[in-house]
Amino acid sequence: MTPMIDVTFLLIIFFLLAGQLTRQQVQVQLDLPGATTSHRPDDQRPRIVLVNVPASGEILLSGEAVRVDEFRQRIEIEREKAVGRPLEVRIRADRTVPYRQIEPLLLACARSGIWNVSFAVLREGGR
Amino acid sequence: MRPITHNRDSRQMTVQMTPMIDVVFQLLIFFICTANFQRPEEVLPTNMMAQGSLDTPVEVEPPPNQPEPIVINVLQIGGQVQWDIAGRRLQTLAEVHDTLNALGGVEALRKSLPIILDVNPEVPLGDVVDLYDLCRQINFEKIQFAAHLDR
Repeated sequence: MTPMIDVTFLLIIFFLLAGQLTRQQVQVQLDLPGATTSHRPDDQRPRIVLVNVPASGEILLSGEAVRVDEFRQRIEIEREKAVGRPLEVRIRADRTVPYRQIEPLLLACARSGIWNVSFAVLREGGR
Repeated sequence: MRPITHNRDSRQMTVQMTPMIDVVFQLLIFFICTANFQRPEEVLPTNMMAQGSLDTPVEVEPPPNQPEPIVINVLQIGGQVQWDIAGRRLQTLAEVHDTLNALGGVEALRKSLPIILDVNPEVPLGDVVDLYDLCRQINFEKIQFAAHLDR
């Protein structure tokens, strides 16, 4: 039995590790801003468009750099797909990114009629 | 008479170390792999608008006796972030906190009192989020970002 249990454990560990690495590749490492009034994301929400803005200022959608007009096209497509369901645009931006990189994203959301925009932050203790 | 031996007992007491070490290592690797050392991310919601959009604006009747919004200009001067509220230049977030507390009046009114954040393009997002978070801490609920269509 011992070798079989050994092999089973090894397989479990392999798949866990592979899953973790895949998740890490999807999520860009950023120095997110901190906030005290944030809340845990509601995973019940049906559709979320996640946009990453690293310190370099690029707009990353699904790992690829896009322009603001492409971003707007993409969120409008997503809005059409999310018929009858609220669409959330979540901005994961580095804390050092100047507001000039974020404002066009907010404007694109406002122009497309998407009112539900949130910032990804890290929870901080009381000030 | 058969002599009493302890063979059976001594065989039972033998501990096989190798499989035990195997299992301990496996468990160790399992927990290291499944542990998440990153801080969990949370979200700070912003409500862009109630209805319509900039391209398809919807006429909204202003409610009677709607209070004047508090406009906060966020500036970047000499690498330092400063705040301008009602003509007063503020240097620290603590001053902003006190000023908003004074302007907000009683807590019940704050929920309906709009705050408009007019942010300079050079201000880092971290400082914008700090201010937004501060307004939420003092129980303001209508916090909006000023849109500059020419930028």
